[in-house]
Amino acid sequence: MRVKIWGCRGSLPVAMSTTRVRDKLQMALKTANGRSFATDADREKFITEELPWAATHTFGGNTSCVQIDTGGPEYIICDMGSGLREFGASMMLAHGPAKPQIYNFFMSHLHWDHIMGFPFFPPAYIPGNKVRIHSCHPDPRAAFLRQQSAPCFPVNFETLGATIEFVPMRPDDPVTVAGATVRALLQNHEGDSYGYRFKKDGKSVVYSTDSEHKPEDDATRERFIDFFRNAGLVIFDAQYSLAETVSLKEDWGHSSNISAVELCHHSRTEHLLLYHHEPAFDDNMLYRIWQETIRYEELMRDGGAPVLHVSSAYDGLEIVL
Amino acid sequence: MQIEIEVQGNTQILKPIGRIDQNTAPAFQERLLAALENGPDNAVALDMSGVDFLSSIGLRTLMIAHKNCQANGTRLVLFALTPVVREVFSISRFDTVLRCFDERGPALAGLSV
Ligand SMILES: [Zn+2]
Ligand SMILES: [Zn+2]
Repeated sequence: MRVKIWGCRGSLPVAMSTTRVRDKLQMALKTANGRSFATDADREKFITEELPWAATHTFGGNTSCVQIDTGGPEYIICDMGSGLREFGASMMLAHGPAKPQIYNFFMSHLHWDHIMGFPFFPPAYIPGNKVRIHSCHPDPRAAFLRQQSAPCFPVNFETLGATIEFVPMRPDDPVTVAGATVRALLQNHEGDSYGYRFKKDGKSVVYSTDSEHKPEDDATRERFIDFFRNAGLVIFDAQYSLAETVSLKEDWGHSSNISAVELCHHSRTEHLLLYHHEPAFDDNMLYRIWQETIRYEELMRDGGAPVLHVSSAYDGLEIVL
Repeated sequence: MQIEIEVQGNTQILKPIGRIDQNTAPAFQERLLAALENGPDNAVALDMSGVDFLSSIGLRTLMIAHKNCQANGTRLVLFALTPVVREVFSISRFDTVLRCFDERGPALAGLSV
């Protein structure tokens, strides 16, 4: 399986600021230290091999959207945040308007940051395409109708050209889609949210966003440890600090890097991907949180236990399992 | 888990010794919450100099203690965190929620504020 992040941000799309662009230029010029480069290839080599990660990357600002490529002809996408626009554009480039495709969406929930990309998803406008929206919520259609109707949007949902089908799903009732077995789990979030575990060829990816973990809730913790068990990759909502989740932002429906490491350690997850980044945090803060999480993992790891690889999601990141 | 207790007026100074982890957290929690039971006239200072490791279950105990204090008005401070525990406090941002002091003197003085 191959996982591609099209949107990693929580709550609201954001763009990198001019101040942060200048930070990165500073970093690059400092590292170059007066050196000159004869060709573009030399510059490219310097950028790739010598510049620090933070100088050459931005976490990006699109809201939740993750593609899970199972190798077959059908597509699997988790959530329809603003990142869906770019995914849709890439589909138009790859297939053009004439070759119908099947898109399987798995919805964590229907908050706006998770559906706002759909009106900007070109394949939905093209007859012949099939859009299947898998959801554990009782009436997901209502959210789509509301989003794409006056006065919020000029094109009504009902006039979209593609064949759109809502596929009800139940936790603990696994389905097989695009060659993968998909299992859902109820999560703690306002109005409920669901995590999904995708399994194919003995490898598993868990998509678990907009999910609050309460340190005192042992029963739920056990359910999640079981859900994550031996996963190759867990994509985890780490929007807040642990302190925030137990004080000011308790019951706001999100979780922390500390809970992430704890659950991944207990479940023997191989790779943790920090996700649903706080929109108020710039690249510097997100980079700091990432490095702190790597350190925390090291501090908390049992002697002899394998290293839990920790990454932080950015738009465009691809992970192959 | 070994916890040394010293009483100074209406202030109890608790000094847990060793790791606060899955095995020791329940005992630590029981002793700490018992010390916090008496309400606004009571204060607790946690001497952390003997704690060389604190897992998330330990953070959770401190969080429960903090919430109990908010509910019943007991005052709670911590002092003399070891380097690893200080690091865990910083990463989890618990240093922004709990009142932490480098030394015992200022911590005890902080309880009367
Ligand atoms: Zn969200
Ligand atoms: Zn949400």
